[in-house]
Amino acid sequence: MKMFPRIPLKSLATFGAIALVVTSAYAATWEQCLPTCTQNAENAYNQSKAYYTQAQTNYCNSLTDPAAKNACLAGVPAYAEQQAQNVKTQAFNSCMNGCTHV
Amino acid sequence: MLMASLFPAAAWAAPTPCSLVDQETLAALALGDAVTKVEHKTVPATAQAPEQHVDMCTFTPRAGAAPSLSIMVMPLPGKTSSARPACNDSTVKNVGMASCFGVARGRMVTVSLVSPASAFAPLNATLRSRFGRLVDGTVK
Repeated sequence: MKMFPRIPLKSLATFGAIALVVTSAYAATWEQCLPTCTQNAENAYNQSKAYYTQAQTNYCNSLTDPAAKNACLAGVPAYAEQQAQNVKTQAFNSCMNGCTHV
Repeated sequence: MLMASLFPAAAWAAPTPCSLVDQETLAALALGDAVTKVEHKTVPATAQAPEQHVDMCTFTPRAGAAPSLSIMVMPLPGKTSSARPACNDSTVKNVGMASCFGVARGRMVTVSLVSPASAFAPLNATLRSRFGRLVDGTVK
């Protein structure tokens, strides 16, 4: 008694081979993307932190009152760190999205 | 506003940074259905400035992480009650970043927008056009 009388063995083998190739390609793409996207996100973190630090420092220095200016400058590191982490997350997600949809 | 409705005692409290931005502005920034996160941070004292307390509010989409809008409010010591707002922007690794700074009523307001570079230009334009009223607390 035949269990799959309408599916030739050759077709099944072809289908299996195609599935294997597609799965391998997808996995390889994801694995190849991860280190690239991690590095990409790290670069975005560093560059954006420099940007946020410069942006707020410039504004603080434009304040004429010394007390306000110093208080503003004291808040720069916390602000830059918070925002750079946000950019890092978005850069990583954006990079991985582009990768896994290949 | 919702907080005040739910908790009447909050009605007399100082407004959170989240309340500086209205629903229309959030919708224009593709954050009409945003999740809100409020944080209170302490900025350590330095040789030139005393310890400070900063309130932060971050809006992110219910699904995904982009775009995001952060509002930071920090009371300023000294005589500065207001200062001209300034905005600038940059792009790194396909992520757009915009920052607007201003001082009104003795407090510094910083609004930061982060979005994919592909959607950044119109969102940045919206932020810039509305920041002046937002920093004054008159956006509503």
